[in-house]
Amino acid sequence: MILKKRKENRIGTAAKRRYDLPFQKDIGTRYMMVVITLMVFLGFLSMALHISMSALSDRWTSGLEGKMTVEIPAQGLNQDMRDKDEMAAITTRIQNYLEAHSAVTSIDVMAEDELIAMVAPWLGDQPTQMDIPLPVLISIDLYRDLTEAQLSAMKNHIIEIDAASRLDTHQNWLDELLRFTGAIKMVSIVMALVIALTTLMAVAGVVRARLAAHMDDVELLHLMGATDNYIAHQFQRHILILSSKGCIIGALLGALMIKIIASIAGNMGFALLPDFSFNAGHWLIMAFIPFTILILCFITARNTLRRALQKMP
Amino acid sequence: MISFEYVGLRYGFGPEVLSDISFELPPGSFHFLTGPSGAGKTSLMRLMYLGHLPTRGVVKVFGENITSVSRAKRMEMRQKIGTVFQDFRLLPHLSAYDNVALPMRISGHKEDKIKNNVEKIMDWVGLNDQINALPNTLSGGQQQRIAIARAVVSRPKLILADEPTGNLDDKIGQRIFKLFEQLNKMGTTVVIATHNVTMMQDFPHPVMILDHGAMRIEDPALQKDQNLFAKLEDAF
Repeated sequence: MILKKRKENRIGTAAKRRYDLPFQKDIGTRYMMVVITLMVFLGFLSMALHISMSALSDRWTSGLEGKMTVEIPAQGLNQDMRDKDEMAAITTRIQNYLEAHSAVTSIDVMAEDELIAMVAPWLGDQPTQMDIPLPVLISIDLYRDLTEAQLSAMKNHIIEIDAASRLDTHQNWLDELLRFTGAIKMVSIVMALVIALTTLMAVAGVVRARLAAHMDDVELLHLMGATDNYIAHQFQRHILILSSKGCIIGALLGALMIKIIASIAGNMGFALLPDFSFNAGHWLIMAFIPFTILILCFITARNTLRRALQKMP
Repeated sequence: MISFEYVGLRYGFGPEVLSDISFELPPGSFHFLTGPSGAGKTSLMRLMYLGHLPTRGVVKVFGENITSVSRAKRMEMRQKIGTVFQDFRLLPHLSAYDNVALPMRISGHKEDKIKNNVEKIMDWVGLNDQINALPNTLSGGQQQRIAIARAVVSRPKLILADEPTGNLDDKIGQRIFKLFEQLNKMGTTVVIATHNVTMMQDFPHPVMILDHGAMRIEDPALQKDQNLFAKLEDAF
């Protein structure tokens, strides 16, 4: 009975053995896990920023694509206030012209209450009581984008009807916004590169430090005939386990943070802000971040180890 | 098995610790290596277990010039050598079992064969009850026996032992030397660096005497020098 127990113990000893080198006691390798957790977390945020900015610029572009607006100001070119009848007459003439245009799908003259609601954040609920003149806005939907010549002809025709009226293609405004989202997307790409570089340097640094710390033990393994592959495999396995833990924790924290941001952005309900509400495809892209970092860690560790081990006798 | 031809060794820019050493050890031979402290015994052992390359001359182990063999071949050759280091060099985080099993694991043996060999050799060195102990919980003598067990567990073709009985009492020392002799009878080449003149007398094998970087081999069996051991005793 005692002998049987002892034998089981022995098998347990062999089974419990995980590494020939004392990695479990290394503080430095745990530091690497923390670094990888942070890198994956930042990678998630950076990718979230990129995806949401892309979605936002798509939303802006598609929302304004094939759309134009005609503004009929309440004041004429001579700064005289127009009365309601004059405004209605100009509106009808422009409306008739646009409805007859072959490129126009539909038009929509914005009602006064809609206009009041739109300017309410700046002018309050009752701008008309304050004698603030309101323009007329006509929203135009097009079959297709107009050529420069067609656009110019349309602008000229509207000016012929009313010299004070303006045709706005939103292009200037949209260009500014797209430049802004483009810059943020670029920042997110730079962040991703910095994250990759930091991960690479952290892993290489930890591997070199661990190798230096265990130099005597590594030399002993070499003297017993352990190949570079044998030793490298042990390091790699250890680093892969640590990196996997770091990646999982980082990914969970990153996903949680994105959910929190999405919830806050959703509650604000402001259409100009990115909403951070991702679909399954977006999450799939996100899932590549920990895998990419894991592969990066593995390749870096392997190359650093191979180079260092080959320098040993 | 091992041949040295005009071998010199220096560390860095220091003086030569070995100069023009030439000898040949045939396969299946048993030799003691002795000499005063600082004579270069450990350096000579390092060259034999491929822990260092000579500064000049040719060292051949298993018929291969150790300077020109490929890295892969050198690792392969090292797997055929069992070394007992003077300072034991046990891995402190591994149990006695795992320390002894290490050379077999490196050579890629299966766990059941490893278990069989390790248990047998642990029985032989009288430490079967310490199989799960960590080295730092063992006495110097017990650690030395673990180091010896590790060196012989994979039945190497060449055993190099640097002061293998330095921390052992005579009874255990005798037992260990008998183990080396048994392995030698099975064809293993054995080189033991030691100061223990009594052991050299009890186990009469040729003695390589290293002194001031030069070496000569004396064979007590040939009885050229009747006072060999007395002289060695005086010298050390």
